[in-house]
Amino acid sequence: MASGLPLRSLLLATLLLGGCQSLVREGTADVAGIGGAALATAVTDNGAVATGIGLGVRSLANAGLQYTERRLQRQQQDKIAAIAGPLPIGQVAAWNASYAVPLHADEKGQVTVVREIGGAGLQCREIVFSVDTVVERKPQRAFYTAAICRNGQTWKWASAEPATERWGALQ
Amino acid sequence: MTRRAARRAALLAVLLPLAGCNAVGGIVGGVSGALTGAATTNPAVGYAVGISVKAVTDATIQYVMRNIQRGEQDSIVRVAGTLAPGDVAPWKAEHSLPFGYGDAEGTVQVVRVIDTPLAQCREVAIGVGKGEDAATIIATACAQEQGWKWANAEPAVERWGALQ
Repeated sequence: MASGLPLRSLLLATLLLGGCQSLVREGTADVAGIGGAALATAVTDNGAVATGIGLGVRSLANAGLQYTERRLQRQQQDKIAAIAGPLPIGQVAAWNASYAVPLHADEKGQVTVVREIGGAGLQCREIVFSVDTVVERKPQRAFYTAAICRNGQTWKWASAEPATERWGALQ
Repeated sequence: MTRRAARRAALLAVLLPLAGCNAVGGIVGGVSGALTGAATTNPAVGYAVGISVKAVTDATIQYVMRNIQRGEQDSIVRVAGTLAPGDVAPWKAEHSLPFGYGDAEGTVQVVRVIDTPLAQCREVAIGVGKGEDAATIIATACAQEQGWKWANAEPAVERWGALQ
């Protein structure tokens, strides 16, 4: 039973982590986890310990993938914010983001500024941007709204997370 | 079914309503893994089967949950797209799932018209929930080729926190 507790906490951690992840993500973590479990069986014949090691490796792989996804999404947010920051209100400019990693498709669209949101010592803007894609050889446009704020010389994405009551299937 | 399997099935039945939909994948995966592990005695095989079952169950549940949420968003902004600013109208989302699961209704009004050269958007105030759970939510919607769609972009990555 000595291995029971860490195994259980690992299981719990995986349950919490695993709540809302895509199949791609599960796939990456699974391969690592299965590899980890297989390796572990070579050094221990205790099934619970092997599964625990597998789950641990899986969590690490998962965290690595999430880190990459966050980095790519931040790149895109920074790109759009940098273009919308100096843009005069009412004008439309193009943005595009290309990635060296095949994990995220290159995306492009247009962005415009709706209004300034000012306060004591802060400079923010509300923006509307499009994401232009081609579905079945027909161009498609989706529109989104967001907020950006100026931090020193750089404009950064400023939309806050939804209220926890509205997370629903997000997590 | 062995007595052990029966006990696991009973445990699953108890855990399901407690854990909520999003944890089902993990629980189903864990039980499948445990059952497979018992059948093959190889923990790596048990682990692989358990985790694969979990991945498929998770992805399916997420797909269903996303569809429910998208249905609700579409129902709300479809009404909001037809409203004049200041008018209040009811919205209703029905998913024809058992026990009316995911069905919801409330009110919606347009609080601001966001007129840009790029797109026609609106800021809307949405009344959701009833009684103690009643709340007002502010969101944005934009007109797309196929109709009005929810338009709130994702939060800043720095604010993703436990969301991912």
